[in-house]
Amino acid sequence: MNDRPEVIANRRVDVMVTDLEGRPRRSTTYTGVIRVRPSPVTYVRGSTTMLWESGNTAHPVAVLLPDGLPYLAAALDDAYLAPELAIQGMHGDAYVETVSARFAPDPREQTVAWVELAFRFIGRPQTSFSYRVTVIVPPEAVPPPQ
Amino acid sequence: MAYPEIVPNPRIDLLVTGATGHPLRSTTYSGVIRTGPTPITQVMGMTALKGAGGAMGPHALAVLLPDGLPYLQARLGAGFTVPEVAVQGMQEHVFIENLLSRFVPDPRGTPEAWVELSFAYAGPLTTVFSYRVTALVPPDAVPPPSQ
Repeated sequence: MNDRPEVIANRRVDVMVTDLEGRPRRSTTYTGVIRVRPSPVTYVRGSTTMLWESGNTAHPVAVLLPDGLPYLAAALDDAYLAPELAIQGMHGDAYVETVSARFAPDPREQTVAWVELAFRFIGRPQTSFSYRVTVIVPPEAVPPPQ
Repeated sequence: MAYPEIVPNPRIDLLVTGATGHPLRSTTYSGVIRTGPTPITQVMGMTALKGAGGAMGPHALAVLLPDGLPYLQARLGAGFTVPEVAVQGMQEHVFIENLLSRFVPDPRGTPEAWVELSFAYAGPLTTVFSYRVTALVPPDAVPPPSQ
């Protein structure tokens, strides 16, 4: 699929917590909506209708979260990410598999990494998704704002 | 039964520290929104789904969260809410748009504000949604229970 998915991000929830070993951690939760294609909802002569593209096909999706913090790659040894994905718009069949999140190195500057969410789904191209990625890192993994 | 029916989970209400070191109250509201009666039925001893009838919408929903805390408007400061909605049950098709959550002033003119979740969806009136709204506010934005 050549389309660039639209990511509608909520504000991130960014808090300091303590893990079960007593270490301080930064917990950042990214949420929002991913649309691979524009909404199928349209209006024809004053009536609402939905125009779904036909055919169920497999669609790989990989997006960098638009409000992602810059993470220092050298400080991510015991960091982890937890991705969640749910369907928010569909027609007929829809099936999501291989949901993953990772720190993707910045191609311009390898010392920095960004949060990438990836998954594969089978369904209509206009299927839309609600996403949530929780990132737990040592506090020093995020440089202070400059 | 009046619809939409909201079935809230117990709220998760925590004191946390913001990334810049300031204290915050984090409250997560979650639950289920049913837009109409369930289509699950029993026919001659077998479980079946009734056909999806009714208008396809778009249906606009705006609900005050039934277990929402009373927030003091004057103390909300940079407080904000984060909405999440997913489909939990659907027939044929559904599509959600214009998802939003916000603090709305109490219509009676009191100092409080309440958390409202709103969205529009196209689909039958048998659709079920899972919701989650996270509210982050200064700790003093919620009055103590004794008041």
